[in-house]
Amino acid sequence: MGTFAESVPQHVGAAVGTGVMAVSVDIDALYRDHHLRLVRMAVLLVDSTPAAEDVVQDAFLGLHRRAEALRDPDAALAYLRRAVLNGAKDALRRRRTVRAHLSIVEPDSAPAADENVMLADEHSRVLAEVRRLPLRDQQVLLLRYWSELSENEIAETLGVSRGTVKSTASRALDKLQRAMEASR
Amino acid sequence: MTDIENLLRDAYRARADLVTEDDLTLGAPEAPAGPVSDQKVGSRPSMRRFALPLTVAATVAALAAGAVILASRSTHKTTPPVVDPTPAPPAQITFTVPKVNTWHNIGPGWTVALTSSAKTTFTLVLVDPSGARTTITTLHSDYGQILDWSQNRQRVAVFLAPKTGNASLVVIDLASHSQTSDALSGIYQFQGFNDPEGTSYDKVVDNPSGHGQSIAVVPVGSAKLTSTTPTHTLQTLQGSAIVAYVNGRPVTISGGASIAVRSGARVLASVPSPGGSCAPVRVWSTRSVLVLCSTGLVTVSFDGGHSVLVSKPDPGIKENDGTMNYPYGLSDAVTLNGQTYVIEGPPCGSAYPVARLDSNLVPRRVGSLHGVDVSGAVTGATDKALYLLQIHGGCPSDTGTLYRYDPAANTMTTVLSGVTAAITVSQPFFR
Repeated sequence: MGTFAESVPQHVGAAVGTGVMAVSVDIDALYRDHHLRLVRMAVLLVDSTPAAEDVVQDAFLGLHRRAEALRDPDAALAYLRRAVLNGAKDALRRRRTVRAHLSIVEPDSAPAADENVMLADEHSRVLAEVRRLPLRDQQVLLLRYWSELSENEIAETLGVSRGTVKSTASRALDKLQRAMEASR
Repeated sequence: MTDIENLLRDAYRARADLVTEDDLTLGAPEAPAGPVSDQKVGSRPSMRRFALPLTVAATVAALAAGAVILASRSTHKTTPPVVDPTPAPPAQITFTVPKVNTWHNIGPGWTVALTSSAKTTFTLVLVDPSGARTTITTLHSDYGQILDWSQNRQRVAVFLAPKTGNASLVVIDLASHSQTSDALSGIYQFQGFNDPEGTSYDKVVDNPSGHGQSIAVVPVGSAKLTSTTPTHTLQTLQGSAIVAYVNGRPVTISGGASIAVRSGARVLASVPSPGGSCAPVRVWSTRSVLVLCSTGLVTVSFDGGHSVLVSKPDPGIKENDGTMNYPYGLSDAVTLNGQTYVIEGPPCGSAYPVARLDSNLVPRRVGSLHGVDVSGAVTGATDKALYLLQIHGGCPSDTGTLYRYDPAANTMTTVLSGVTAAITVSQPFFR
C-alpha cells in the first residue's frame, strides 16, 4: 500500500480567498489510517471491491481538491465519509441505468463468487435484504451498525436531522426484521 | 441491542473483513497538482471524467439508452502518468466553427425528432424553424433515442432496443431515407459521429496495451461496432476532454488542474483552472471556454487566462443524487435577451433543467413557462429561443411536447407533440 502522493506536502498550504491558510491535516496519514476502512465501508454498499476502491480513490482526490475540507482531521474524515456514500450511490445508480436497458453483466458489478461463499448463510441473507432497502435506509444502517457513528454524527454526515436518522433507522430495522422472517 | 441489530452488525463485519490490504489493486492517488497532465498515477481511467462532444440532447439520449455508456465504467488497469512532451506556450488561441456545407441549408432552429404514437413505432421527423414538418421514416422497436446528428445535418444516429434480442444503432440518411444498421450486443461508449458526414462513429475502447483508453473510429455499417479492437486510434484520452476547433483543425480541451488545448499530444495553450480542478463544458466564445468547477460555471479566457463566474451552484441541490453533474447539477449556460439561463442536470427524476440567474448569479429554477412544465430537456438554443422538450414523468422514453420559448417576445410555441427525443441545431458555440 503506497502513501498519498509523495509530492504532497505533509502540511498543505491551502489558498483561501486572497490569503493563504496554513492547515494541519496530514492527508498521507488519513490515507494510511482510513483507506482500508473506507473501502470496506464502500464495499458494503456496492458489493464489489474494485468498485469500492474506485469510489474511495475518487473521494481522496476530491478531498485534496477541497481546501476547505482540510481544516481539521475530523472534518476531512467526515468529508471522506460523505464522498464515499455519494460515490457509492452514483455507482449504484449507474449500474441500475445500465441494467434497465441491457441484459448485460458488468464485470465490476457482481461480487466475486468466493466472497459470498465465505459468508455465513445468515449473514449473506441479511446483507441481501439490506441491499433491497432504499439507499437512504442502507446508508443509515451502515453508518450506525458498521461505522458505529452516533445519531448526531450520522445526521451531520447525511445532512439530515437527528430525528430523521432515528426514524429512518427504526423503519429500516423493522423492514429488515420482517424481510428476514418472510425469507425463513 | 436487538437480535436483528446484532445480526446486522456481525454480517457487516464479516463481509467487510473479506476485504484485506492484499485485495486492493490501486495505489494511492497522486495529488492533482501538475500544471499540464491531469491523469492520476495509479487511478483508473474513468469515463465520468470525460466531458463529451455530444449535444445536450444526445447526452441525455445516450444516458437513457444505457447501451452507449457515457457514464463511469471502471476498468482494472492502472494508467501510467501522461507527460506532455512540450511545455505550454503562452496561451492565446482562437476557436473556430468547423466549416461544413450542410444538407438542405439546415441551420439554427431546425430540429430532428423521434415521435411515437404507438408503443413500438417511432417516426423520425424533420422540423424547420417555421414549424413545417417532413416525415423521414418509421422505425419499429420498444425503445428509441436519437444519439447524434451529423455536422452536415444529413445523417441521424438512432439507438433502438427491443425488449428481447439485440439492440441496434441505425443511421438514417435524411436525403435518401436509406438506413444503415449495426447490431449491438454489449456495453458501448459511443461518442457520436466522427466525421461531418456521419459515415463513422467514435467509440471508446481500451488500448491493446492495457493502459488507458482511446477513441476508435468505426465505419457505419462495417459490422465492427462490436469489436473491442480499435481500427484507428484517434487520440489518447486524458482526463476530462471535449473536442473543439482551432483554425479549422480539431483539438481537444482537457480539464483538471489546468485547462489545456492540445493538438494530438502537443499542448497549444494552457491556463490554470480557476477553482482547483475544473472540467470543460464547451467553447464559450472564440477566445474562451466554459468550465465546471466546484465554485460553479466559469468562463476561462485564453487571452491571459482571466476567468469570469457565470453561475454559482444551485442552492437547491444539496447533494448529488446521481442525476446531476457532480457536484452541483450545472450542465451548461446560455444567454438570451440579456438573461442567462443555466441548464441543470439530465432530465430524469426530479431534475429541473432550466434556471434563471438572479442578480447574485445564483440559479433560480424555472418550474414552468406560460403554464408549461419545463422540467424536461433543452434540445438546443438559437440566438432568440430556447427549445424545450417537456417529458411526462420526467424521464426519457416517455413522450412529450417540444416547445420553442422566445424570451423577447415572451411566447411559448408548440413545435411538435408525441416526442421521445430531439436535437435542435443551435447557434455556433452553444454546443
